[in-house]
Amino acid sequence: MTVALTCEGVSKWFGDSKVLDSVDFAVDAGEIHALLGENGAGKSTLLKICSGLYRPDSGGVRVEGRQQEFGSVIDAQAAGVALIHQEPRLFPDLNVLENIWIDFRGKSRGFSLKSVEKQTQDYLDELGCEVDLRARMSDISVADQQLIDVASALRKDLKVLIVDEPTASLTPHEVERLFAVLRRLKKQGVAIVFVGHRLSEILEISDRMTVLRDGQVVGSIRADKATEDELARMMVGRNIDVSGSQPYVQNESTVLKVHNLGAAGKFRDVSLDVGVGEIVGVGGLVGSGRSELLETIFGVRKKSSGSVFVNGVRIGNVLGSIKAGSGLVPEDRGRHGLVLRATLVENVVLPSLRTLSFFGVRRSKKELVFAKKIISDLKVRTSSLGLEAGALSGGNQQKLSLAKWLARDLNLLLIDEPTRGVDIGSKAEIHSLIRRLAEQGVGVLVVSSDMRELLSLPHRILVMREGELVGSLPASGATEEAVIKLASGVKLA
Amino acid sequence: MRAGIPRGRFFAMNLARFRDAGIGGIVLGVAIIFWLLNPLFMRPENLFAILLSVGIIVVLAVGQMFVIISRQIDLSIGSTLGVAAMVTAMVGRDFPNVPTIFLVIVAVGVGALLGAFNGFLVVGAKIPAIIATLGTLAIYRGLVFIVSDNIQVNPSEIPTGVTALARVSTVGIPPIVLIGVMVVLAGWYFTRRTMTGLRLYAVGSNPEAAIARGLSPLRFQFWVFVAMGALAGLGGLLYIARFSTVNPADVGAGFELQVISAVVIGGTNIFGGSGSVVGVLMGVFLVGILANGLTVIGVSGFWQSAAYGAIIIIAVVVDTLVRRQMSSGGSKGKGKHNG
Amino acid sequence: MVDSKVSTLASAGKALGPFVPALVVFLVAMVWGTLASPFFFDIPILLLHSGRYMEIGLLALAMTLVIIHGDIDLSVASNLAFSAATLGLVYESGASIGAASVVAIAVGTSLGLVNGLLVIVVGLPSLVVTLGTLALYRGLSQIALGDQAVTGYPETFVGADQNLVFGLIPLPLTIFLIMAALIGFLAHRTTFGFVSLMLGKNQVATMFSGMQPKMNRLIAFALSGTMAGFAAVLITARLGSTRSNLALGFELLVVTVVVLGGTDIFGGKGTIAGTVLALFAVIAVREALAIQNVNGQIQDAVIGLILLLTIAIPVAVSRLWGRAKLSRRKALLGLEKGIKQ
Repeated sequence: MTVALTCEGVSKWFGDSKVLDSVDFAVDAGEIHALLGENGAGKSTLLKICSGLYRPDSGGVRVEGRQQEFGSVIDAQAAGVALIHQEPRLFPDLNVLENIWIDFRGKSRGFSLKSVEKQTQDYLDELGCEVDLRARMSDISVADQQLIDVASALRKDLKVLIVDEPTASLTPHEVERLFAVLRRLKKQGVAIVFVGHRLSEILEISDRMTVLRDGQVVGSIRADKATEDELARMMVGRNIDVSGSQPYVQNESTVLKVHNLGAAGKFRDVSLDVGVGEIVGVGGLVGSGRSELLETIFGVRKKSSGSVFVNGVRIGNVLGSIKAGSGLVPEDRGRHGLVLRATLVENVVLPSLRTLSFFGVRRSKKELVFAKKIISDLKVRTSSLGLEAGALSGGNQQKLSLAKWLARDLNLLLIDEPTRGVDIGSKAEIHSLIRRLAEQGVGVLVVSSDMRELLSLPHRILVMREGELVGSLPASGATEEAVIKLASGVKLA
Repeated sequence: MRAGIPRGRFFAMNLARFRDAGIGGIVLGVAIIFWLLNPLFMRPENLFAILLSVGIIVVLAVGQMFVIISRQIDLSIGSTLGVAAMVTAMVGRDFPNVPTIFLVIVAVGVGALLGAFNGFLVVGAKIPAIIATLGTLAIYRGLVFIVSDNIQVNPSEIPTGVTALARVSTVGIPPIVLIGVMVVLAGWYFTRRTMTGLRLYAVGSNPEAAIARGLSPLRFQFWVFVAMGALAGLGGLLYIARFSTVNPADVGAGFELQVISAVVIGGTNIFGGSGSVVGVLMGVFLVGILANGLTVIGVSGFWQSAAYGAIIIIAVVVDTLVRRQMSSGGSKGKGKHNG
Repeated sequence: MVDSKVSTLASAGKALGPFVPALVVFLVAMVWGTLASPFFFDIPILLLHSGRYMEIGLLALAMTLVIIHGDIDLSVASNLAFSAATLGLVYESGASIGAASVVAIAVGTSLGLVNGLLVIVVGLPSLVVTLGTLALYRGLSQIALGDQAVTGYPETFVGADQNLVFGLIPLPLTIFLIMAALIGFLAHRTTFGFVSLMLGKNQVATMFSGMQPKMNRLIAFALSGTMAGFAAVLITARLGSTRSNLALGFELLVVTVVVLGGTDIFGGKGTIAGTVLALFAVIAVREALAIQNVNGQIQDAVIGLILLLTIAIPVAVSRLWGRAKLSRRKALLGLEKGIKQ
């Protein structure tokens, strides 16, 4: 067995956090090797390093034994490594044939698209792709786009094919077709790195599996020796202490009632309750629709069905939500949660402009007092209030993102990934903030991919998978394994 | 892909073909209307005049098409044409024995230089194309003035080699028209038969994907401005041939609107990534016939500006709505339409 | 220690920064003009001449708001022309000058609203739409007036621009300053203005906080039209006649004034004070050129050059600055990593 791709001692830092820690990883030619791990385990960073998008801070990548220094994606492609995205990079105005050959670098004399038409048609036939070469790219389905992406890679001497969560938006029939393609490529000697989260799929298609956790390799295991249980346990590690959560005293009144809520293409038929003073966590894998659920409940995303009630009032849009005392701290604090170019004060007062102004006229003193209070209450560390939000550290930015809602009279707080990219100290502060809010009677719905957080912070845990609510567990007695199994579709014992 | 496609999608998919045919039909229809309103419209001298103006505008329009495909715009083409025309006319006046081909090189060269400066502003200084060319529109117009010392070049001073371009030659067709045809053919060949032309569309269609595939959007953005400038320069030479008087105050004024209208009617998407030379040619014909026909039937030229404005708005509205229709039923759906 | 001094200087620099280009241009122009001619530095005369530019100033005030949102309105001059044509025709048909003026302002506002509706409701890019309305509105004014000029305005009206308020300040300048104060108040002291700035900085995040961008942007476009209407009244009083070629080429001056005043062409940043300062800078440049009998086309070219330099120079400076900061950060990171390892 020749080794096609090797990562040796690869490490990568993003700012202060070590995302990959001395990772060793190897794929043989003609092998399908799956890469597994929870959100944030480092899978996509490793893939980006292998495909030339990032450079490792230490360690290196070898292709067929030869050391590589990928300066860019083009270098990786030249070495025979291609990455297929979930949403392929395409040119919607060009047709299929043109998309595949657009970066042809050979001799232009004697080359015309017509001359390679037959050859391209053969590639596509081999891949079982039935598109018309002359069809516009924007008319092609996602499943076919992926195959066309593969065809583009085949055009160059392909040694390693990396597929990143390819099955997320495919129908079962399309998944089978993709797997047939991968098996065909495997026979031709291509090494395939497969990243996915549906454990049953992974077991079906892979020869070998490597599990990452917190940026380190936990272990590698051959497919014929692995079970879904084993994999889930490897991804999760030891059970953690969940003594942080207080038992929830069942309250008669609910703050949030969601009935059969759905948003086109993202999630469907979700019903849930959040009681007064209750913290409800939402777990699930990437693409399960959790963030979209929060956005729809809050009103920034259009719902296609169902209804949302806050304290008995039906909510139709963002303004209604805010009036009813809701707030949303989105996952992407840089782009959705904060206006980075604006100052701290400006960010904090934004949702509360009406109460702080006098018939539309701003009252800067009132705004300043308002902002000062919440900023110091939350211990947002800054040298000056006039600083731009973008200048703050991750933890302080997150607190700022919370501040603008916490300064108001809240009934319901929706938070998406409360402590992502936040230092340990701020993490603890944010957790105690949330607990204090709940004690004061605010209902909290929190999405989290951090297992420790998901199990210790909420009173109750909901799990979503592929747009559906698949389970509800009380926090006491819940285990990481149970959550992972629900999230990836493994049958619970 | 073949059977069972909703009618809206089918129309949108073949829009380009329908559109060209549609515009062609409108051109014919408008021409017939003008002819019915005033038979003088179809007289050979009048058709000749239309062809001459079409010849000049199409040269500019092909260049602007390239610019718009690359997601930019060039507002300074009239001023560029003006500078090129003025310089060339002055050279022709002061060195009357210079061969015409040399004057062609001067015109194209001056235009290319000015275009390169535009390119530098956009790519190097990172000034948005709209602002950069708004600025050079004024700067180049000032340049016309400085270069000519505010002295106009009179018809008698233009070398006969140049004025001959506008006359019916031995071939039977005035060289201006021939040059226009050559530019259209060259443009067609470039966009449909070369890899570089295809890459221009790719860069305008999705700049991020282009970078991921190893193409350089910045390089394309620069060179389209150079090409546009060169074509504007060529247009300047043709201008001299047609109008004979080169007046520093108004040489080349007003071309921008006609050209952009023609390009937009011709189906070039204002958001970049698509456009056809054939469509642009149709658009130029429509603009040329409108301008000429309105005068012939006695409607004042005052309606022209309003017409161009209305045309631009309508074309953009239609384009936007169609694009929206196409993307709503398009590939984002879960494996609905295969191919 | 040194670092804190640098940072206070830096924050002072940041506050004044947007006004520097306009100040520099103003001072350079004033000095140049004074050196070029002994007749230049005559404040009362300069103030009187400034009346010519107040229409541009009014347009620039509203344009600042539009650009802050991240939009642009290239049709302002054509809007002015059509509003003025309406004023003339309404007056000719027998109405009083006051009524005609009100109609002109209403028409201007409506044309601005049309722009806004096309951009916001239909969802078209403001650049192309206002390019189209630039042609359309100008064309409409040409159709309305044809070759003719409207004259015969009342004597009290024509030349009113020469009147001095309190015997000192020319009327147009006074009107402009009042408008600037009003719009400045709107932009900087109301929630409307605050939301505009936030929308320009990050529309999505602002929407996540409950603000709807549509109304804000629409109002900005409408206001742009209203100012065109006011400017139409001013220009008619100044020139005493109305033709279809009024305000030709004003677009360049208006955009230059806004950009020179420190407003970011991409939106999110801008002050009315900066626009006012930039207007005076542009006036100084034009007057300095005019006193040397420089041709109008060349004057425009100089303005165009100023426009380009105003955008290009900060980009160049920040790139050099960024390169310096990057190499400094790289060095520090290298040290840290060495310690970590």
